Amino acid sequence: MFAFEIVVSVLCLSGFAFLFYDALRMPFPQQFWDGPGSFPAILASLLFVLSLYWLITTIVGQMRKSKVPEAEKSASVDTSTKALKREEIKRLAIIIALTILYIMVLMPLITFPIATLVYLFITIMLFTRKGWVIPLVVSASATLFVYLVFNYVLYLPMPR
Amino acid sequence: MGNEIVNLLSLFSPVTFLYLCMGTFLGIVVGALPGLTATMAVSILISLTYGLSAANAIVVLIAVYLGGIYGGSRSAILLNVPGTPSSAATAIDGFPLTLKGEGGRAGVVVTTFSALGGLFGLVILAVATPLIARFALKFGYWEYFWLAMMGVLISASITTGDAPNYKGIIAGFIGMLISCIGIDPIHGYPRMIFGYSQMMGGINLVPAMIGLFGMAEAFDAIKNPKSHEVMELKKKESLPAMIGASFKMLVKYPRAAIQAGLIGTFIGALPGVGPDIASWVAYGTAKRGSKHPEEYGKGSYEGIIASETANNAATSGVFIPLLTLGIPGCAVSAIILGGMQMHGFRPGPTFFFENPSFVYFIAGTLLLVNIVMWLQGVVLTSVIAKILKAPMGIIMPLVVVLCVVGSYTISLRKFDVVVMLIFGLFGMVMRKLKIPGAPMALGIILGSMADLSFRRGMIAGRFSIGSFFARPLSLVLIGILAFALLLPVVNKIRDRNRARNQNR
Amino acid sequence: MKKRVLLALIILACVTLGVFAQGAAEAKAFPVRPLVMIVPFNPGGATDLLARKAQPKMEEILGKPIAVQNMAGGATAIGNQYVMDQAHDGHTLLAQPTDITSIAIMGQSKLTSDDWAFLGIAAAVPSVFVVHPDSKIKTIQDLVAVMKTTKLTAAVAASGCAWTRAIGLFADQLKLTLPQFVPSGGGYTAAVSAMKKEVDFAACGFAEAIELIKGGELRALAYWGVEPVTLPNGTVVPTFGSVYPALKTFEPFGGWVGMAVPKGVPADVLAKLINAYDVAIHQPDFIEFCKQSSFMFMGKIGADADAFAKLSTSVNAYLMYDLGFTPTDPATLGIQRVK
Repeated sequence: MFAFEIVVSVLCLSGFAFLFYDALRMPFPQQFWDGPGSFPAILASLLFVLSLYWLITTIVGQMRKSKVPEAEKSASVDTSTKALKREEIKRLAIIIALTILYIMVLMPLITFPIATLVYLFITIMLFTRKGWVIPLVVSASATLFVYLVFNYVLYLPMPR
Repeated sequence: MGNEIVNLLSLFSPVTFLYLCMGTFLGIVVGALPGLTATMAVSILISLTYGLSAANAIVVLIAVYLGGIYGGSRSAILLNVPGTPSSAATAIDGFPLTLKGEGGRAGVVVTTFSALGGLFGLVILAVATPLIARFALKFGYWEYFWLAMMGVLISASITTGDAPNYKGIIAGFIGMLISCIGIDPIHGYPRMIFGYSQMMGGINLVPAMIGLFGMAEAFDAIKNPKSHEVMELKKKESLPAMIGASFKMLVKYPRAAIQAGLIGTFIGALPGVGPDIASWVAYGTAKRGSKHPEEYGKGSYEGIIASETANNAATSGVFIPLLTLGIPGCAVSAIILGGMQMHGFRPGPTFFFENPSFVYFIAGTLLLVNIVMWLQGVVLTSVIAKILKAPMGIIMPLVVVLCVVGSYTISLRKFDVVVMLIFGLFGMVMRKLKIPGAPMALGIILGSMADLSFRRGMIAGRFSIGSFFARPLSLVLIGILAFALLLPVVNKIRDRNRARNQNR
Repeated sequence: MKKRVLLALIILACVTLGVFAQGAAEAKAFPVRPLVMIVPFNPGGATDLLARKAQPKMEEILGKPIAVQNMAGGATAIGNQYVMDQAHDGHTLLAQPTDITSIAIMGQSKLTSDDWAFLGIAAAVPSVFVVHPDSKIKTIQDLVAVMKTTKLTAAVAASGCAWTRAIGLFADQLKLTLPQFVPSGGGYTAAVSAMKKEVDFAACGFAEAIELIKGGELRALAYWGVEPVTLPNGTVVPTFGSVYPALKTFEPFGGWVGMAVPKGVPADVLAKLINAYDVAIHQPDFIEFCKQSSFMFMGKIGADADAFAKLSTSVNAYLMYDLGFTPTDPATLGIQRVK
């Protein structure tokens, strides 16, 4: 957690420094203040200061915490919560991977309705563990509904 | 004027009433579905209502708008996914109530207060329309800049919860920075697009919001279904009891409700601001004035009352400048204005006095829709609560699909779907870091208003930064902003001193 | 249980079949599927209103539904690009406003009017100059007198928009100081800016401000139409040409709204679309709508409209280049100067 906060705040820090530089490079026809870069420059500089503060407080907070005796720390995390955490991370990784696959790969590849059907069927089956009948019924009817709405109510082309 | 006479009597036709009921129902359903917003519903419907008579078309548009703004609260409370941006504040206190097993009751409470808020706004519309419309015009570029800053910073200071305040402010400013992406509307220079032509049009609020709230919540719920497990109450509360309880809240929290009604109506009446920010300002004000501010964020009825009263009061408020000056109060009412114009009604300064019958018609529609909305909302409560019984493994994949559809139909671009996905992943990282998503959403909504008002104010004020501090109204807004930001700090110092004194 | 499975399989089969059947039906007769009409601005604006007004009749003639979809952003560049990227089969139409004459030169898009085949141009939106009723500037002559000496502030829609060009042309021809432009995001918001006294005066579409002018919230100094307009309260809004004859040659000046498809749409399809648009905009209620909303009905069709758009592109591009709104020489984009 500590490492994550440090990484993100350092990323923010460098990102905002770059955006500040980028904003200053934007042309301004009359004065800096009405040019396209003025407001982004103000925001980026404020954000730079805030993320610096974030980085510092995180480090200071960690230093204070590390003074706490080791015994107390290890007692708070037992094995069962660790297993639970691992299970959670696994589930999260699966759903994110499936969703990215659905939007970025399946939709252009096998058209929106079929991709939706497949995605819904697989995710519902994986995350409810109730056999395959309920997932099939839910995914098929949801897909049919979306298909009908696009084609007979909205008359809009479906996403690809 | 129009080819058709439209007055209060048009409302008494059974066909029109049927359209009104259907429109309200459709609005509630679309609003309540995560990923589908009121804006989307109204902009799609405007084409479909063209064939209807003027009265029916306008009734449908208004009914869907009001129903949609109200409907958003249902998914905010039950799934922690605000159905529309304006109910993001409701989720903060609504979802904890659901976890406590009081989701049904909270649903009835917001239904009652949404309707009351709408009616409250309607009363103000009837009494003080010309006055408010005039006053709203006193807000120039400079005031709009402060108003936008106020919206973002207030939401940042109230949503962070246990986490430190600066993280909310970071989120809000990042949102504002995101709103600057794309072609700058003042000089036409493309900003922060990094050679990617799809980004020329900027990041649309709707996909970003759907990603931050809908997608991230879906991931979260699948990751840990227990976080969405609803506590079972031993004793089931009956519907009439819940209705009774909701009206008792009016006696219990009169101040929050009336404040929210006033704030909502006025902010709705400000051109270009709308219900999204009204609910935040009302929520913030209610929290500050509350006797139990510590309950906020943990399931405070006062909190959901404030935000839901305000956003529906704002739906009445937007009709104030619309009817008196022909200026729309928010994005959705601009579409409704277009619908009126297409049927031959051109609201403007003279319109209000020349066509009183049409104005009565609008007022009558607002009145009826609010009543019908209340009835439908109350009846739907048990139906919607049943949906909750379905396991998250079924609901959340469906939410993902709705998020895809909702972000796509806004402007038929796959790009928006990708934006939505990226914001969903963003949202997950932010949750991990305890950075609230709401200030970021508000930053995206209000960022361009702040940016453009700042620069227009600079140009019109002949490049003197002093023009932002010179006008009396600006000073009032700065005062409110400073008060809102400094009060928590002052309170903290006072508490610390008190604690120290007691220790002595 | 088995019944349910069977049902699910049938539904699945139907969906799959439906999708493939749709793909297979991509046959000859146009239109084979519902059309989409893209409006590159937000709902409620002039472009949106005129497009939606033409849509029902076109739907009726073509025999397939037409979905109207707003796609605002990038001064119409986003909508332009979207339609250009779709199949050039005539199923995606674009409501095309004047901005097509300026997005290339302003660097917002690579597309110019040469990339489009116009179905027609329905109406023009002449520009009007408005001030707050309390303003010391009472007439257009007052404005000229003030602008000779001072740099005023003027609200317009966007940098280089039709209304900016109207002020630019005015100042250029009468040798006045260009005002400080305050881009307000739309012609309508520009008018409201003048009403709020945020700026000294505003230029916007006549149709956009007409209700505010009639209601006495704004005073119209003059407009770029063809003949003076008498308001219900008896005041006359003069045309620029009637006060300054040197400006007469430019009238009407402002924006226009048409409908276009990308070049490369088959000729028979284009002919069908042009016919549908032609009939739709010549409906009496369409013309009446234009009149009521203070749009100037133009009714240019097909090749006529293409020629007009080309001319308009040339005039606008060189005007903006000459006035220094953009450093891009129109000649580098293949736009020729017309005299």
